[in-house]
Amino acid sequence: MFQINLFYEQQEIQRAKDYDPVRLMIVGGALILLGIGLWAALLYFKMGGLRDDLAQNDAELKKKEKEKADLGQLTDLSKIQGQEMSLRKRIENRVFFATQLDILREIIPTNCQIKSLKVVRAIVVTKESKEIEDKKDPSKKVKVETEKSVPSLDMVVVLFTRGKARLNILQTRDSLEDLFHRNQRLSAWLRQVSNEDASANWNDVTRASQNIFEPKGGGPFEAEFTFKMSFAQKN
Amino acid sequence: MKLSLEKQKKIALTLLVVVGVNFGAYWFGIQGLAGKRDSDTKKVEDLKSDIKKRTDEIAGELDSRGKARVFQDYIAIMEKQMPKGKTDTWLDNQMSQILAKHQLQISNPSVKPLDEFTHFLFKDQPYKLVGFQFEFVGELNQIGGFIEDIENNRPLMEVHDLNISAGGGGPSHLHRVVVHFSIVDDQG
Repeated sequence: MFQINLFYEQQEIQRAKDYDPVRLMIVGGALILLGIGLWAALLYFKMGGLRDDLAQNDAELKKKEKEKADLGQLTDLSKIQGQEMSLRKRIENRVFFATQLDILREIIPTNCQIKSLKVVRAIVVTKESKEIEDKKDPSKKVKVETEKSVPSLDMVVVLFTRGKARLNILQTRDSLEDLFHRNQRLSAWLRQVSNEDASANWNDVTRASQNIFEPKGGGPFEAEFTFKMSFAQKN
Repeated sequence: MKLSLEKQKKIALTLLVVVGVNFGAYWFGIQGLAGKRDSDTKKVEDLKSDIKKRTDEIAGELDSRGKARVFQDYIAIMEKQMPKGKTDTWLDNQMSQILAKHQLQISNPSVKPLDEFTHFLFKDQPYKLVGFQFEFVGELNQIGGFIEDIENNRPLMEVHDLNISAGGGGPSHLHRVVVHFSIVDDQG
Protein backbone atom coordinates (compact mmCIF):
# COMPACT_ATOMS: atom_id res chain seq x y z
CA MET A 1 0.00 0.00 0.00
CA PHE A 2 1.34 3.41 -0.89
CA GLN A 3 1.05 6.41 1.29
CA ILE A 4 0.81 9.68 -0.56
CA ASN A 5 1.68 12.88 1.26
CA LEU A 6 -0.67 15.36 -0.16
CA PHE A 7 0.70 18.17 2.10
CA TYR A 8 4.30 17.78 0.99
CA GLU A 9 4.48 21.16 -0.72
CA GLN A 10 2.84 22.93 2.19
CA GLN A 11 5.22 21.20 4.61
CA GLU A 12 8.15 22.23 2.44
CA ILE A 13 7.03 25.85 2.57
CA GLN A 14 6.60 25.64 6.36
CA ARG A 15 10.07 24.04 6.74
CA ALA A 16 11.57 26.72 4.56
CA LYS A 17 9.89 29.31 6.75
CA ASP A 18 11.09 27.59 9.99
CA TYR A 19 14.70 27.33 8.84
CA ASP A 20 14.81 30.69 7.18
CA PRO A 21 18.51 31.74 7.51
CA VAL A 22 17.57 35.39 7.87
CA ARG A 23 15.28 34.64 10.77
CA LEU A 24 17.85 32.33 12.33
CA MET A 25 20.52 34.99 12.01
CA ILE A 26 18.28 37.60 13.61
CA VAL A 27 17.43 35.24 16.51
CA GLY A 28 21.08 34.25 16.93
CA GLY A 29 22.18 37.88 16.77
CA ALA A 30 19.56 38.86 19.33
CA LEU A 31 20.73 36.07 21.66
CA ILE A 32 24.34 37.22 21.32
CA LEU A 33 23.22 40.81 21.95
CA LEU A 34 21.38 39.64 25.05
CA GLY A 35 24.52 37.84 26.19
CA ILE A 36 26.56 40.99 25.65
CA GLY A 37 23.96 42.95 27.57
CA LEU A 38 24.12 40.51 30.48
CA TRP A 39 27.91 40.62 30.45
CA ALA A 40 27.84 44.42 30.44
CA ALA A 41 25.32 44.46 33.31
CA LEU A 42 27.46 42.07 35.32
CA LEU A 43 30.51 44.19 34.62
CA TYR A 44 28.63 47.34 35.61
CA PHE A 45 27.46 45.86 38.91
CA LYS A 46 30.92 44.56 39.63
CA MET A 47 32.20 48.10 39.10
CA GLY A 48 29.88 49.39 41.82
CA GLY A 49 32.49 48.67 44.49
CA LEU A 50 35.09 50.43 42.42
CA ARG A 51 32.86 53.50 42.05
CA ASP A 52 32.34 53.56 45.82
CA ASP A 53 36.10 53.22 46.31
CA LEU A 54 36.71 56.09 43.92
CA ALA A 55 34.25 58.37 45.68
CA GLN A 56 35.53 57.36 49.11
CA ASN A 57 39.18 57.88 48.19
CA ASP A 58 38.37 61.17 46.51
CA ALA A 59 36.66 62.38 49.68
CA GLU A 60 39.54 61.07 51.79
CA LEU A 61 42.08 62.90 49.64
CA LYS A 62 40.12 66.14 49.92
CA LYS A 63 40.00 65.66 53.69
CA LYS A 64 43.73 65.10 53.83
CA GLU A 65 44.40 68.10 51.63
CA LYS A 66 42.28 70.27 53.91
CA GLU A 67 44.08 68.83 56.93
CA LYS A 68 47.40 69.69 55.32
CA ALA A 69 46.24 73.17 54.35
CA ASP A 70 45.02 73.70 57.94
CA LEU A 71 48.54 73.02 59.16
CA GLY A 72 49.59 76.28 57.54
CA GLN A 73 53.18 77.00 56.63
CA LEU A 74 55.36 73.92 56.74
CA THR A 75 58.20 73.72 59.21
CA ASP A 76 61.67 74.10 57.80
CA LEU A 77 63.20 71.61 60.21
CA SER A 78 66.63 71.62 58.61
CA LYS A 79 66.81 75.40 59.01
CA ILE A 80 65.78 75.27 62.69
CA GLN A 81 68.05 72.30 63.30
CA GLY A 82 70.92 74.13 61.61
CA GLN A 83 70.27 77.14 63.82
CA GLU A 84 70.21 75.00 66.97
CA MET A 85 73.26 73.04 65.85
CA SER A 86 75.31 76.15 65.15
CA LEU A 87 74.54 77.50 68.64
CA ARG A 88 75.18 74.13 70.29
CA LYS A 89 78.43 73.69 68.41
CA ARG A 90 79.55 77.13 69.39
CA ILE A 91 78.84 76.36 73.04
CA GLU A 92 80.34 72.88 73.02
CA ASN A 93 83.53 73.89 71.24
CA ARG A 94 84.36 76.81 73.46
CA VAL A 95 87.85 76.94 74.85
CA PHE A 96 87.82 77.43 78.58
CA PHE A 97 90.58 79.81 79.53
CA ALA A 98 89.84 79.83 83.22
CA THR A 99 90.94 76.19 83.28
CA GLN A 100 94.04 77.12 81.34
CA LEU A 101 94.90 79.91 83.78
CA ASP A 102 94.33 77.52 86.64
CA ILE A 103 96.64 74.95 85.03
CA LEU A 104 99.34 77.61 84.58
CA ARG A 105 99.02 78.63 88.21
CA GLU A 106 99.32 74.98 89.20
CA ILE A 107 102.32 74.25 86.95
CA ILE A 108 104.41 77.31 87.43
CA PRO A 109 106.76 76.99 90.37
CA THR A 110 106.93 79.66 93.02
CA ASN A 111 110.25 81.03 91.77
CA CYS A 112 108.64 81.99 88.46
CA GLN A 113 106.12 84.67 87.56
CA ILE A 114 103.87 85.02 84.56
CA LYS A 115 105.09 88.15 82.82
CA SER A 116 102.62 87.94 80.03
CA LEU A 117 100.10 85.61 78.53
CA LYS A 118 98.78 86.10 75.08
CA VAL A 119 96.01 84.17 73.41
CA VAL A 120 95.42 84.81 69.72
CA ARG A 121 92.88 83.15 67.47
CA ALA A 122 92.88 82.76 63.72
CA ILE A 123 91.30 80.65 61.05
CA VAL A 124 93.72 78.51 59.13
CA VAL A 125 92.64 77.65 55.62
CA THR A 126 94.34 74.64 54.11
CA LYS A 127 93.94 73.64 50.49
CA GLU A 128 93.76 69.99 49.59
CA SER A 129 93.83 68.65 46.09
CA LYS A 130 92.72 65.15 45.23
CA GLU A 131 91.93 63.23 42.10
CA ILE A 132 88.42 61.98 41.52
CA GLU A 133 86.73 60.08 38.73
CA ASP A 134 85.48 62.23 35.86
CA LYS A 135 81.69 62.01 35.62
CA LYS A 136 81.70 62.36 31.86
CA ASP A 137 84.50 59.91 31.24
CA PRO A 138 85.03 57.43 34.13
CA SER A 139 88.35 56.30 32.68
CA LYS A 140 89.76 59.80 33.27
CA LYS A 141 90.50 61.49 36.57
CA VAL A 142 90.09 65.15 37.41
CA LYS A 143 91.88 67.20 40.04
CA VAL A 144 89.61 68.84 42.60
CA GLU A 145 90.78 71.43 45.08
CA THR A 146 88.99 71.69 48.40
CA GLU A 147 89.43 74.23 51.14
CA LYS A 148 89.42 73.27 54.77
CA SER A 149 89.01 75.92 57.44
CA VAL A 150 90.02 75.20 60.99
CA PRO A 151 90.17 77.67 63.86
CA SER A 152 93.59 77.83 65.42
CA LEU A 153 94.78 79.06 68.73
CA ASP A 154 98.18 80.42 69.70
CA MET A 155 99.09 80.79 73.34
CA VAL A 156 102.29 82.47 74.29
CA VAL A 157 103.36 82.67 77.92
CA VAL A 158 106.38 84.62 79.04
CA LEU A 159 107.78 83.56 82.40
CA PHE A 160 110.15 85.57 84.54
CA THR A 161 112.50 84.03 87.06
CA ARG A 162 115.46 84.86 89.26
CA GLY A 163 118.34 82.67 90.37
CA LYS A 164 121.59 82.92 92.28
CA ALA A 165 123.55 81.34 89.47
CA ARG A 166 123.09 80.67 85.76
CA LEU A 167 122.78 76.99 86.60
CA ASN A 168 119.72 77.70 88.77
CA ILE A 169 118.12 79.54 85.86
CA LEU A 170 118.83 76.68 83.47
CA GLN A 171 117.50 74.15 85.96
CA THR A 172 114.30 76.18 86.31
CA ARG A 173 113.94 76.34 82.52
CA ASP A 174 114.38 72.58 82.14
CA SER A 175 112.01 71.84 84.96
CA LEU A 176 109.44 74.19 83.36
CA GLU A 177 109.74 72.38 80.05
CA ASP A 178 109.36 69.06 81.78
CA LEU A 179 106.31 70.29 83.69
CA PHE A 180 104.61 71.47 80.52
CA HIS A 181 105.24 68.21 78.72
CA ARG A 182 104.18 65.93 81.50
CA ASN A 183 101.24 67.74 83.04
CA GLN A 184 98.12 65.56 82.91
CA ARG A 185 95.61 68.42 83.30
CA LEU A 186 97.17 70.32 80.44
CA SER A 187 97.04 67.19 78.31
CA ALA A 188 93.37 66.64 79.18
CA TRP A 189 92.54 70.28 78.46
CA LEU A 190 94.24 70.10 75.09
CA ARG A 191 92.42 66.90 74.18
CA GLN A 192 89.15 68.56 75.07
CA VAL A 193 89.63 71.66 72.96
CA SER A 194 91.80 70.43 70.09
CA ASN A 195 90.84 69.11 66.74
CA GLU A 196 90.97 65.29 66.76
CA ASP A 197 93.82 65.05 64.27
CA ALA A 198 95.57 68.17 65.49
CA SER A 199 98.54 66.67 67.15
CA ALA A 200 99.93 63.33 68.14
CA ASN A 201 101.79 64.99 70.96
CA TRP A 202 99.18 66.70 73.10
CA ASN A 203 101.49 68.62 75.34
CA ASP A 204 103.22 70.20 72.38
CA VAL A 205 104.59 73.20 74.25
CA THR A 206 107.69 74.61 72.64
CA ARG A 207 110.21 77.07 74.00
CA ALA A 208 110.16 80.01 71.63
CA SER A 209 112.91 82.09 73.21
CA GLN A 210 115.02 82.64 76.30
CA ASN A 211 116.73 85.74 77.65
CA ILE A 212 119.10 85.39 80.53
CA PHE A 213 120.25 88.71 81.99
CA GLU A 214 123.57 88.99 83.72
CA PRO A 215 123.39 90.19 87.35
CA LYS A 216 123.83 93.89 87.98
CA GLY A 217 125.74 95.01 91.02
CA GLY A 218 125.87 91.61 92.71
CA GLY A 219 122.16 90.97 92.25
CA PRO A 220 120.66 87.69 91.07
CA PHE A 221 120.47 86.34 87.54
CA GLU A 222 117.19 87.13 85.83
CA ALA A 223 115.63 85.37 82.89
CA GLU A 224 112.61 85.37 80.61
CA PHE A 225 111.39 82.24 78.88
CA THR A 226 108.76 82.28 76.19
CA PHE A 227 106.73 79.13 75.75
CA LYS A 228 104.36 78.69 72.88
CA MET A 229 101.46 76.35 72.37
CA SER A 230 99.71 76.31 69.02
CA PHE A 231 96.92 73.98 68.10
CA ALA A 232 93.99 73.50 65.78
CA GLN A 233 90.78 73.91 67.66
CA LYS A 234 87.59 71.85 67.33
CA ASN A 235 85.09 73.37 64.92
CA MET B 1 17.00 24.07 -2.65
CA LYS B 2 18.46 26.90 -4.55
CA LEU B 3 18.11 30.37 -3.02
CA SER B 4 17.05 33.23 -5.12
CA LEU B 5 19.41 36.13 -5.64
CA GLU B 6 17.14 38.41 -3.69
CA LYS B 7 17.17 35.98 -0.80
CA GLN B 8 20.94 35.74 -0.91
CA LYS B 9 21.21 39.54 -0.76
CA LYS B 10 18.82 39.60 2.16
CA ILE B 11 20.91 36.99 4.02
CA ALA B 12 24.13 38.91 3.40
CA LEU B 13 22.58 42.15 4.55
CA THR B 14 21.15 40.53 7.68
CA LEU B 15 24.50 38.95 8.47
CA LEU B 16 26.19 42.32 8.12
CA VAL B 17 23.63 44.05 10.33
CA VAL B 18 23.72 41.31 13.02
CA VAL B 19 27.52 41.21 13.13
CA GLY B 20 27.69 45.01 13.08
CA VAL B 21 25.17 45.47 15.87
CA ASN B 22 26.81 42.81 18.06
CA PHE B 23 30.27 44.15 17.42
CA GLY B 24 29.04 47.65 18.24
CA ALA B 25 27.42 46.43 21.41
CA TYR B 26 30.56 44.55 22.43
CA TRP B 27 32.85 47.44 21.59
CA PHE B 28 30.90 50.21 23.18
CA GLY B 29 29.41 48.18 25.98
CA ILE B 30 31.97 45.66 27.17
CA GLN B 31 35.15 47.35 26.03
CA GLY B 32 33.89 50.75 27.17
CA LEU B 33 33.05 49.42 30.60
CA ALA B 34 36.30 47.49 30.84
CA GLY B 35 38.20 50.61 29.85
CA LYS B 36 36.31 52.62 32.47
CA ARG B 37 37.02 49.91 35.06
CA ASP B 38 40.73 50.02 34.23
CA SER B 39 40.86 53.80 34.34
CA ASP B 40 38.87 53.86 37.58
CA THR B 41 41.16 51.23 39.11
CA LYS B 42 44.13 53.38 38.15
CA LYS B 43 42.40 56.47 39.55
CA VAL B 44 41.77 54.66 42.84
CA GLU B 45 45.40 53.58 42.96
CA ASP B 46 46.53 57.14 42.21
CA LEU B 47 44.19 58.50 44.85
CA LYS B 48 45.44 55.96 47.36
CA SER B 49 49.02 56.89 46.61
CA ASP B 50 48.13 60.62 46.89
CA ILE B 51 46.38 59.94 50.20
CA LYS B 52 49.42 58.05 51.45
CA LYS B 53 51.64 60.90 50.29
CA ARG B 54 49.49 63.51 52.06
CA THR B 55 49.22 61.31 55.19
CA ASP B 56 53.00 60.93 55.23
CA GLU B 57 53.44 64.66 54.65
CA ILE B 58 51.07 65.47 57.53
CA ALA B 59 52.74 62.90 59.82
CA GLY B 60 56.15 64.21 58.73
CA GLU B 61 55.09 67.78 59.42
CA LEU B 62 53.72 66.89 62.85
CA ASP B 63 56.91 64.99 63.61
CA SER B 64 58.99 67.93 62.36
CA ARG B 65 56.97 70.28 64.55
CA GLY B 66 57.59 68.07 67.57
CA LYS B 67 61.31 68.04 66.87
CA ALA B 68 61.33 71.72 65.95
CA ARG B 69 59.70 72.56 69.30
CA VAL B 70 62.62 70.96 71.14
CA PHE B 71 65.11 72.86 68.99
CA GLN B 72 63.14 76.09 69.28
CA ASP B 73 63.00 75.79 73.06
CA TYR B 74 66.76 75.50 73.12
CA ILE B 75 67.12 78.39 70.67
CA ALA B 76 64.74 80.53 72.76
CA ILE B 77 66.77 79.87 75.92
CA MET B 78 69.94 80.82 74.09
CA GLU B 79 68.42 83.88 72.43
CA LYS B 80 67.40 85.19 75.87
CA GLN B 81 71.09 85.46 76.61
CA MET B 82 71.88 87.45 73.49
CA PRO B 83 72.32 91.23 73.64
CA LYS B 84 69.14 93.25 73.92
CA GLY B 85 68.73 96.77 72.61
CA LYS B 86 71.93 98.51 71.72
CA THR B 87 74.63 95.85 71.68
CA ASP B 88 77.54 97.94 72.97
CA THR B 89 75.52 99.45 75.83
CA TRP B 90 74.17 96.03 76.78
CA LEU B 91 77.64 94.47 76.71
CA ASP B 92 79.19 97.36 78.63
CA ASN B 93 76.51 97.04 81.27
CA GLN B 94 76.76 93.26 81.57
CA MET B 95 80.54 93.23 81.76
CA SER B 96 80.64 96.02 84.32
CA GLN B 97 78.24 94.05 86.51
CA ILE B 98 80.29 90.86 86.31
CA LEU B 99 83.56 92.71 86.87
CA ALA B 100 82.10 94.53 89.86
CA LYS B 101 81.24 91.15 91.39
CA HIS B 102 84.96 90.34 91.28
CA GLN B 103 85.91 93.84 92.50
CA LEU B 104 87.33 94.78 89.15
CA GLN B 105 86.71 97.83 87.06
CA ILE B 106 86.20 98.04 83.33
CA SER B 107 88.14 100.50 81.19
CA ASN B 108 88.31 101.30 77.46
CA PRO B 109 85.30 99.23 76.38
CA SER B 110 84.71 98.98 72.65
CA VAL B 111 82.84 96.80 70.18
CA LYS B 112 85.25 95.07 67.83
CA PRO B 113 83.86 93.21 64.82
CA LEU B 114 84.62 89.53 64.20
CA ASP B 115 83.52 89.16 60.59
CA GLU B 116 85.74 86.24 59.71
CA PHE B 117 84.58 84.09 62.61
CA THR B 118 80.93 85.03 62.06
CA HIS B 119 81.07 83.60 58.57
CA PHE B 120 82.96 80.57 59.81
CA LEU B 121 80.52 79.70 62.58
CA PHE B 122 77.18 81.08 61.42
CA LYS B 123 77.10 80.85 57.67
CA ASP B 124 73.47 81.22 56.48
CA GLN B 125 72.27 81.58 60.08
CA PRO B 126 70.47 84.55 61.63
CA TYR B 127 73.34 85.13 64.04
CA LYS B 128 76.58 86.97 64.05
CA LEU B 129 79.49 87.19 66.40
CA VAL B 130 80.05 90.48 68.11
CA GLY B 131 83.43 91.17 69.60
CA PHE B 132 83.72 93.25 72.73
CA GLN B 133 87.08 94.39 73.98
CA PHE B 134 87.93 96.04 77.27
CA GLU B 135 90.65 96.31 79.84
CA PHE B 136 90.95 95.85 83.55
CA VAL B 137 93.62 95.42 86.18
CA GLY B 138 93.63 92.67 88.74
CA GLU B 139 95.44 89.83 90.44
CA LEU B 140 95.75 86.48 88.67
CA ASN B 141 93.14 84.82 90.88
CA GLN B 142 90.69 87.69 90.24
CA ILE B 143 91.27 87.41 86.50
CA GLY B 144 90.76 83.64 86.67
CA GLY B 145 87.60 84.09 88.75
CA PHE B 146 86.15 86.62 86.35
CA ILE B 147 86.85 84.48 83.27
CA GLU B 148 85.52 81.39 85.03
CA ASP B 149 82.34 83.25 85.95
CA ILE B 150 81.74 84.14 82.31
CA GLU B 151 82.62 80.68 81.01
CA ASN B 152 80.32 78.97 83.49
CA ASN B 153 77.36 81.32 83.30
CA ARG B 154 77.42 82.85 79.82
CA PRO B 155 77.41 79.99 77.33
CA LEU B 156 77.29 82.28 74.32
CA MET B 157 80.36 84.20 75.38
CA GLU B 158 83.89 83.11 74.72
CA VAL B 159 87.30 84.63 75.24
CA HIS B 160 88.44 85.44 71.77
CA ASP B 161 91.81 87.00 72.45
CA LEU B 162 93.50 87.59 75.75
CA ASN B 163 96.52 89.59 76.71
CA ILE B 164 97.70 89.53 80.29
CA SER B 165 100.79 91.45 81.27
CA ALA B 166 102.32 91.76 84.69
CA GLY B 167 103.17 95.06 86.31
CA GLY B 168 102.59 97.60 83.63
CA GLY B 169 104.03 100.32 85.82
CA GLY B 170 102.11 99.26 88.93
CA PRO B 171 102.79 96.58 91.55
CA SER B 172 104.15 93.36 90.09
CA HIS B 173 101.36 91.15 91.48
CA LEU B 174 98.82 93.13 89.47
CA HIS B 175 98.22 92.29 85.84
CA ARG B 176 96.79 94.42 83.11
CA VAL B 177 94.31 92.40 81.10
CA VAL B 178 93.12 93.23 77.63
CA VAL B 179 90.35 90.81 76.89
CA HIS B 180 88.41 90.43 73.71
CA PHE B 181 85.20 88.49 74.22
CA SER B 182 82.91 87.29 71.48
CA ILE B 183 79.19 86.85 71.93
CA VAL B 184 76.50 85.47 69.64
CA ASP B 185 74.05 88.17 68.63
CA ASP B 186 70.75 87.73 66.80
CA GLN B 187 70.44 91.35 65.76
CA GLY B 188 71.20 92.06 62.13
